[in-house]
Amino acid sequence: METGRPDNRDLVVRVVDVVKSYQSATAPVHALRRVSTEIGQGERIALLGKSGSGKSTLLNLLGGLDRPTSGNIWVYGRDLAEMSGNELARYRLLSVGMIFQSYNLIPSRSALENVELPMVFGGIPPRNRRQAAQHALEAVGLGQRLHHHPNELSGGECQRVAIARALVNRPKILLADEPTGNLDTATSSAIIAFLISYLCEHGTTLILVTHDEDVAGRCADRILRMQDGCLVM
Amino acid sequence: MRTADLLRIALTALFQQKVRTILTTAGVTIGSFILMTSLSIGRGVEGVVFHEFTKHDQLRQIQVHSGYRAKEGSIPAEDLVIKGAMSDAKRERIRQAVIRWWSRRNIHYPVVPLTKERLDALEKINHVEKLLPFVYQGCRVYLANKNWEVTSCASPANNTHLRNRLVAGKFFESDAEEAVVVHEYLLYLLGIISEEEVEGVLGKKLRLEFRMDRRRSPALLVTLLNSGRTNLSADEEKVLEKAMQQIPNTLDKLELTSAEKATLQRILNEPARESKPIPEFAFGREFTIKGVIREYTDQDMVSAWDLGRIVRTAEVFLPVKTAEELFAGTPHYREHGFDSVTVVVDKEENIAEVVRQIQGMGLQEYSLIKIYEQIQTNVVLLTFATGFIAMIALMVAALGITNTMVMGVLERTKEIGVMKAVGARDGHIQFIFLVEGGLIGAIGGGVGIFLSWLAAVPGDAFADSLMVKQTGNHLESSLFVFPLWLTLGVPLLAILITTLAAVYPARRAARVNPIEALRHE
Repeated sequence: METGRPDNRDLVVRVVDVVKSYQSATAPVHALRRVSTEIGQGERIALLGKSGSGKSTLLNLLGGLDRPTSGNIWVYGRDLAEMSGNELARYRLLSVGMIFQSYNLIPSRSALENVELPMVFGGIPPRNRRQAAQHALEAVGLGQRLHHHPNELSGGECQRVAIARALVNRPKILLADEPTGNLDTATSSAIIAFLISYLCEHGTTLILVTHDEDVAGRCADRILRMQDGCLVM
Repeated sequence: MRTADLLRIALTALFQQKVRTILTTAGVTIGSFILMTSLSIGRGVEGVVFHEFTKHDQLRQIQVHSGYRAKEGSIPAEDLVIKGAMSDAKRERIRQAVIRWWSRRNIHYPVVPLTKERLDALEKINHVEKLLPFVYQGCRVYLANKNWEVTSCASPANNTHLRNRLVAGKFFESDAEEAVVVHEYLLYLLGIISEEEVEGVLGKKLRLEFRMDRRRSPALLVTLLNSGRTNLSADEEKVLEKAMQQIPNTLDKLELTSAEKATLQRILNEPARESKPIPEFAFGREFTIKGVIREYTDQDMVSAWDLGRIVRTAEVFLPVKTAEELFAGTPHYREHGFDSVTVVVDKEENIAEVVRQIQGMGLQEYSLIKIYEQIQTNVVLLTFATGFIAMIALMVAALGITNTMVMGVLERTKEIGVMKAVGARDGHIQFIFLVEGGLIGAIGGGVGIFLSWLAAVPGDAFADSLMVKQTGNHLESSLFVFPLWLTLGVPLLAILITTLAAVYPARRAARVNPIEALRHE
């Protein structure tokens, strides 16, 4: 089943017949069932669906955190399934930025250090990465909270740190998994406003996972609905 | 990823779990400390033993004695017959015992004497540097109008014990001087009392008179008759000698039965075993008094090995070559040779070869190298034993590290997932944990070395007090030796062991599934 095509834009992501199955204790679980789609440069896609519909599974596959059971995912013409572990790590480091509902910050590190982390694995010299991290945090409005640890920050601030970390390497694709799921309405609106502004400014492709129609409507210029591991019209 | 970042991440992780890190590192510290200390003391003891054995060149010396064991052919055949039922092995053992005891009862003069010719043969053995014949001979000294019965002894010119005891004049500059060094007590007995008088006697002539092969010394009569006299004048000796010569003629006057007298006559008329008794031979020579030594004290490091105990009892010292030349030509030495000779070998490693050749000449030999090697073996075995225990301690510490780090991986699962999500490779994660293990080894090993180094000061003081209590001597060098290979080797070994201990947790961390890890709470 193929759903959605980018219009007059360069193809960034191409998903073809992707299947993802797990072996649970009792029976096999088919998280994705022959999913196919294409996403163009700068598109803002919302993956909308209920819990367990497979949207996070698809996002993890697109983020190179997991490999499909079958099928192919081409990103900028390269098949993720063919990449080695190190190539996937490099892909995660340079090509995609990921934002999670639970922020996934390292509690023992300050906001600045959390944002620096991807650049540490990229081998960027300390002075350069510190500067870049500081700019990224200033961009998300946390210029005064550089040395605060996650437990000293509010939920919204934590998510801003996570966004700064996801964007610090200027990825071409931003993958966001329920980024406002833990935030109040006002904070959600501010976060979404910032993301849209950033994406428009940099032409970054967004793939947003949400179960909230309102968030999907505000963020995305195309909505892909998922149900029982399939994309539906 | 930069090495500095790798170290920083690992150090930060260790720092965040201070108590756990301290406890884990303490195990490595204890293991490293024991290993370092035991190896250090092992080296130190080895060094002290080597120093003690070599400070007077004892390790290069072989004491060679005349051969006193009779050859089988010279023993009457009937004496070698072993009667009775027994195994062949036992018969052979008893036969060897017969030969040994026969030699002890019947051989009064050496079968293989250390004659001048044999000394020349010894000197020609490859690797032999020099020979120092042992001369210890009673004589009577004459100075002005006084005389005294003394013991003379030969000494090499480099005898440090005697040199250290010099109180006036000089010691021998060569082994072949026509000079003597005398004990200040002898001068005192001869009436040279004050320090000024002692200085004044230097350069004067001292006459030494030797009477060789006196089988019956007149002094024996003094002992026999239980007299309190210990030193006889020349005139008194003559009287005693005259009395001794008349004793056999007085046997008839003893209150004995005829049978007892017959037994006594039979015992006294038993012919001497030696084929040709050597006639008594007397000679004298004058020597210049070159130096005066003081009485020895407890501080004088005199060991039994280098004839120290004998040197203590002598009053007159002759240069060794002068003594050799003096006696080698006398009938006794021509026939029976010197009692012993010290063979000095060029290097310790050639001792075994020289010993083999000396044994081949039928001479008896004794060298400290065997004792030294035995001590060295004991030291190595003890060091191995303590080192082994230390290694076990390190292994136990390593198991503790593995256990702690596996727990660390579980606790840091989410952090590992985040790192992977933002671009860390499996190798990065693995390295972080390996470096953590290595750092524990480096810190533990470093602290262990430092503690061992600290322990050296009280350790040496304690060892020194023990030495003084048991032997009266002080430690001359530290028992704790820290050569570079040890100082670098122990921490490197600790790092290796702890890094290996971290391999399993590191691989486990690298295999963490990032999706599951990110869900982990």
